[in-house]
Amino acid sequence: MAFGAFGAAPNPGVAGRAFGAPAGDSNPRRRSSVVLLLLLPGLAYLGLFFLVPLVSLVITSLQMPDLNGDFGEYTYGLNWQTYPDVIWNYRFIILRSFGYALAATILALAIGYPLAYFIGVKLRRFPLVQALALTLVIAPFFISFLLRTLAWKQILSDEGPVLSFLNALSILPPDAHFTGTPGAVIFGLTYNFIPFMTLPIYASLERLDLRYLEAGSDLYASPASTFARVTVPLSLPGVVSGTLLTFIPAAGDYVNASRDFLGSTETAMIGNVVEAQFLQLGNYPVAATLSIVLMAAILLIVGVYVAIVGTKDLV
Amino acid sequence: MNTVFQSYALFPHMTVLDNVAFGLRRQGVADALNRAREGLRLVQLDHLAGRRPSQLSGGQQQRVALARAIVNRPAVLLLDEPLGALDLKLRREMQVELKDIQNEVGLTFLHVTHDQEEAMTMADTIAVMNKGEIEQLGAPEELYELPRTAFVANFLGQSNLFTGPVVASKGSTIVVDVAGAKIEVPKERAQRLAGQVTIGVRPEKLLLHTTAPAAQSGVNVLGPGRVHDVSFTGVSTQYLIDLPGLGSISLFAQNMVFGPVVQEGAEVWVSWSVDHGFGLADGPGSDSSETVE
Repeated sequence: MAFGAFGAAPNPGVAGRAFGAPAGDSNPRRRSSVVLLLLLPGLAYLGLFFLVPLVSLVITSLQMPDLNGDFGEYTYGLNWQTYPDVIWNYRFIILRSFGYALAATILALAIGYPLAYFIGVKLRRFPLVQALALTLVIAPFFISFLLRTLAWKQILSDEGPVLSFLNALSILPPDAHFTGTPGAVIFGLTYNFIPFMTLPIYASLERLDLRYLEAGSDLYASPASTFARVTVPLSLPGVVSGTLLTFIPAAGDYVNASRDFLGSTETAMIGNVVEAQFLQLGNYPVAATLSIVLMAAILLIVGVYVAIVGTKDLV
Repeated sequence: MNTVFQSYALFPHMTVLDNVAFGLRRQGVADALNRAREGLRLVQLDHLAGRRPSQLSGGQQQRVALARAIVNRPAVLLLDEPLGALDLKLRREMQVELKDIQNEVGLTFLHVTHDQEEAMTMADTIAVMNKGEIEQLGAPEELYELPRTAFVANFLGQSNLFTGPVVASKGSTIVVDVAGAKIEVPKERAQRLAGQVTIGVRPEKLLLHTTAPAAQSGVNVLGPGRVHDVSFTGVSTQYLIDLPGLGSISLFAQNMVFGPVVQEGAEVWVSWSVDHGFGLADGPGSDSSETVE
């Protein structure tokens, strides 16, 4: 809305018409200056905390080792070579990151959609239960993300209740372990992003007019067919935002895959490498380059995804 | 059976054509799209086939909903207050159009409505329902001219109802004593012939007199009374007349001259042909419900 009003302001047709408007109707030109004023804090914030670090990141990524200085010192330059080097050296980690993120997104969708459907459609007749169920979805946020992941590490560890129980039943081989495997990392990512998947889908299913479903069955569609052809397309905006809210942060996540949590050195994701390069090795150009590569790859993937799914059936 | 929903329930994510073809495709009809186009042609919307429902006006959406149901050729088409969301003028147009379409496709329409006039305009057979039960079933003319219950008499149009004991039976009529006035009703138009009965007459059947009319057989006369209210409604003028002992009665007079011919407070008499009266099976006093074609 704000952008609509903002965009309309330079349009002479709109502004011109406003001069003839009755006194009670506020002048769009004045209104647009109010809009600009209201946008100012946001724009300033974005400029300071998004644009400046981004530019700084690009400059850092182009730095080159200082030939005269100590090891680990870099000078400003235009060292484009870091990009192909980084992409080639970390190609498996990059692929792994997106593979984990994709798997976690699909799992979170498989869990979150039925959950959102149940809360948004089936619980509609019981507003109190619905509110309670929604609270339960959000409840994990009350505990720190790190603590929850650490708790899972305890639960899933070799001495933890899950593996002890399965070992006692002799289902697993005695040397089986779960933490440190890709499965554990994907599990952790899925768990942590289920609320981000569920809430936007809930928001679109909650508004779903059940008369469309009635119309579907009136027109010979089976419940499954009605779900596939009516319910899913109408909840697609929620699915798109839910998957984006899961996939983007999951691809850049470095907590779940870290050795200190659910991962191991074999499960390192881009985030872990960036962390190591920045904080441990002090190789800023490589870390910055990897960050930009991650960002560009996400933009590309998301762009293709939205172009395919987003525009086709959205109302 | 297919349904035209009150809210239309057109799928917002599909084009008009896909909406109409939905039922055909689910049934596996081979040339679903061609038949859907035919359906849209029937409601004269084939030029809007590619649009989304949200880009259409209310009347157009209504017609798409109709086409979506009709293309499936159901044995019965249920229309659940299909014109309820339209303004009066558009509703009248759609009533005529619906009748034309029905004649063209030859399907049975089960049309649920709260609009009595709509029911009478469109239906071959009306069932007046009250609290889930059918009060009376018949052709619109029959229901209007010869209602059997007070509910039907007041629900379809207005009625003047009088209650009193049957005091005499002479030839083909019964005589009812209503607060001292003797009113005759044809036996064949009365549900009950003895005891306490409620009888009625439609307001437009009444004639207004400014002088006491001469008594003659075959005519009921009431009066004198006082004109209590005069409302000009265009085609006719409605008079509310207070008759001592009988309460207020309503009378419609065609506007054959300009403006009301009688002013408020005037002393008047009313008369009507005995043949226009009807006798009910129950007493006055009932509440509302809906009609079904």
